[in-house]
Amino acid sequence: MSRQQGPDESRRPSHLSWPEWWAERLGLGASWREALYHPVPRRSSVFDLLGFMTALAFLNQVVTGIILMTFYSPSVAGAYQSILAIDAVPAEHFVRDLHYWGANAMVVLVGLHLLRVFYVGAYKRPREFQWVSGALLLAVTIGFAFTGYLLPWDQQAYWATTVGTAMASYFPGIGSFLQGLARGGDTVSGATLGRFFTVHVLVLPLLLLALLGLHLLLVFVHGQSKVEEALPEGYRAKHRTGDHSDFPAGDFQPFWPNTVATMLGSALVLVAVLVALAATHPAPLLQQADPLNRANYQPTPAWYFLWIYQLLKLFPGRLDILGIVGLPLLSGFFLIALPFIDRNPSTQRRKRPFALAAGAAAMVFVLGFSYVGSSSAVGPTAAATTASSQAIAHPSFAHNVEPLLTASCQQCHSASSHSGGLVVVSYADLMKGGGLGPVIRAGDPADSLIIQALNGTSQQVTQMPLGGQQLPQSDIQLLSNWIAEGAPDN
Amino acid sequence: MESRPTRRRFMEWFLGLGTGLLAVFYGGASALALWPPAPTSAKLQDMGPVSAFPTGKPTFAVYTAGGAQDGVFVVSQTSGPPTVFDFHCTHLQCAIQWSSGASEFFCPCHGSTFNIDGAVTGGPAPRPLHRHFAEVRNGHVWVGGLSS
Ligand code: FES
Repeated sequence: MSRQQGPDESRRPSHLSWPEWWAERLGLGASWREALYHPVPRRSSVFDLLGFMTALAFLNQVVTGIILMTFYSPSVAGAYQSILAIDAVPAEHFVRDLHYWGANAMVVLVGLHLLRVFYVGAYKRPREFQWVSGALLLAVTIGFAFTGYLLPWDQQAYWATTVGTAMASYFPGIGSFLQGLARGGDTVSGATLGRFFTVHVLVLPLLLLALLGLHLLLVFVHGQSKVEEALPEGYRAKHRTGDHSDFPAGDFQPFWPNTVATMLGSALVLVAVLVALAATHPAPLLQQADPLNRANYQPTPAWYFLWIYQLLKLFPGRLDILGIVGLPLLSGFFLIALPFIDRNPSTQRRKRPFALAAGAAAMVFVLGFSYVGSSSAVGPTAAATTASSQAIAHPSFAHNVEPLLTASCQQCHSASSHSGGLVVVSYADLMKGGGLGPVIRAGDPADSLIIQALNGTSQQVTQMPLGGQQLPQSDIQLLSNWIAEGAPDN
Repeated sequence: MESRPTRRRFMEWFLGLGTGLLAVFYGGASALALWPPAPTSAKLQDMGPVSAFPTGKPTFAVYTAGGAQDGVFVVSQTSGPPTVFDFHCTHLQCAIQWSSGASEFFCPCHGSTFNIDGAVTGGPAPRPLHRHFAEVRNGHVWVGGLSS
């Protein structure tokens, strides 16, 4: 039974366990007990851990981010140099790799967590604001990804940010103001870097902590939906008074230490995955940002923006605004307001056919567009293929061959650098050839040095582009087709 | 008797005004610091002699605005000042390139193309290339901020 009430009551502190001691100082009453020992169903799936793992990935970002920040210099003159210096020290490079993969993991985990919550209908009354705060946390995560992208100040950072901030300029009425506000000027510059850095390391972390606090507080207040549903009638009310006599053993286990142990296990797995990725796939770094783009770099979007990138191709000309502003805003609004739009009170899958079908359709849409976007976006030669979409049977020099040469070959074979004596700027240059003689035998692609070099089958020259990835077969085919037709100047 | 409501009203008034002042002060200071500069604020710059810019073929040049470098294409005209295009695509501002073979500007990002007058000839770009202010002084081409 409980201890005797008596004059010794006031000296109780010396007998308190450490959680009780802290609970008393923090004025937590008995709620810490409820938090620590609340029953959790024994049978649980990894999906239950997604929210926790997202928070954990964030913790990874905090730790690695603080380390990176001590070496990083947020200025046009210093940013790229400081990243080079970081990459020169293996331990620091590894921290950057971890930060890079942690960022990707956060985007993935927050997305999966959201899907899971949607699927089980856990956003319904009374958990609407758990969902709303979660949707805002997703927005903050994307903000982190977007602002962090610029900081290495390489070509990818610079031009992806140029395109990303240019999207803001499509906003009706205040578009150019928004773009200027994001950039601190007309173009992406040192002012932009300063703004993005501050937002990335200060504003967004504060926002995230505030939202996460609310998110977790609400989990504490309302409990996890599936736990509440499984608990016996009236258990919660009794539990709040400190009576744990009918703890539903059997199907349930206490949060501490059983569930916490599972969480720790998932933490170890996540960190192991991040370490493995960081060790095998280091964070990329391209050439230093060049606002004049002298090397004709062509930016590609981050993987989580691929679907928007692909979508934009569907809205030509003046309808662009629908894809650039309308659709993202609308989907954001839907996402945040979902619990107030979907008024169906049921959380049973069979009773929510419409919501689940709509969710599935949205997923298919995003994944499908991402896939198409990824296969059409990448590679330095998309210039040639986007201008004229498919691998071309009867290529024209001006429309197909020349843009391809410009994008893929002129970095080295220009009038100023003329590697190997070869210049491919004009038709005449190309036909003249280089130090090894003509590179094109009209009508005979197989015997043309340029095709051999691109295929890596030449005895005389190494595979081209030098040090780069082989051109897509469609591009080499295009060139072959053109040579087969007699290499006309058309 | 009379003093209580008056005092109370004064307190309310003071609270409202005080909070408002603080908000205006910090809000105003932030807005002043972060407000984007006007787009055409950069000064005219000498780009070199007119002879360096042939007609019928855009020539790449560097224009520096607010410490940041910007690319422009200068196209001399048979009469009047040269046309100067900003090298950012009007779609989403990737860097355009001049293709001498096709005699047009093209943008590698989503495939917009523009003719030598800056007009859109293909792709998603919604409007002609942006132009910079330009004039000829003493045989030199001078370029200023964006004019359109
Ligand atoms: S940015 Fe030039 S076509 Fe999209």
